[in-house]
Amino acid sequence: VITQLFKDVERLVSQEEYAKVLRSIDKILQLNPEDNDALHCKVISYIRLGKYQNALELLQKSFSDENLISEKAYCFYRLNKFDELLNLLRQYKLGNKNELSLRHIEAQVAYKTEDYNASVEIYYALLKETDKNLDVYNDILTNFNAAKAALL
Amino acid sequence: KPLFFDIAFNYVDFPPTLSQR
Ligand SMILES: [K+]
Repeated sequence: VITQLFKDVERLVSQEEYAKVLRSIDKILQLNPEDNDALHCKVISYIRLGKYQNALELLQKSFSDENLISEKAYCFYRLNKFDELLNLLRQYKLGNKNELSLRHIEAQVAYKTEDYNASVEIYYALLKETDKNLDVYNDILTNFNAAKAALL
Repeated sequence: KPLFFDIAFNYVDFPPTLSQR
């Protein structure tokens, strides 16, 4: 039964039917409340639906501090919880975990809080280490230029 | 205000193990 439900989840994710994903996930969690993949899917579905508070509550209830850090940071970012976000980022920098996702969140929150120098610096470093042929290179360049323009 | 992308969103994704369940 769980295998079939996960197949449904996979199909619904590819169709971007996130409200329906949540329904299938809840059926899995009724059978197996601790299923880590199901809990992870539930967090991402909430985020895709813009329900950042629900995502954050689930992250805090069902995942330890070291898990799904990027997801937690992203929820803080979207909820404008900048103090919590900066604490989280500081913690992870101390642990030398410099994931790309966290560097992007750091650059975005710097821009959002008008710390344009910090934002420019992170995007400059990201540009230097990103392949120019990747789509993301142009996105980084756009954000770099936006932060640089805001500095002037 | 200039264009600014939410690039971090792309790094938040469903677990890669999903297809093996
Ligand atoms: K992560």
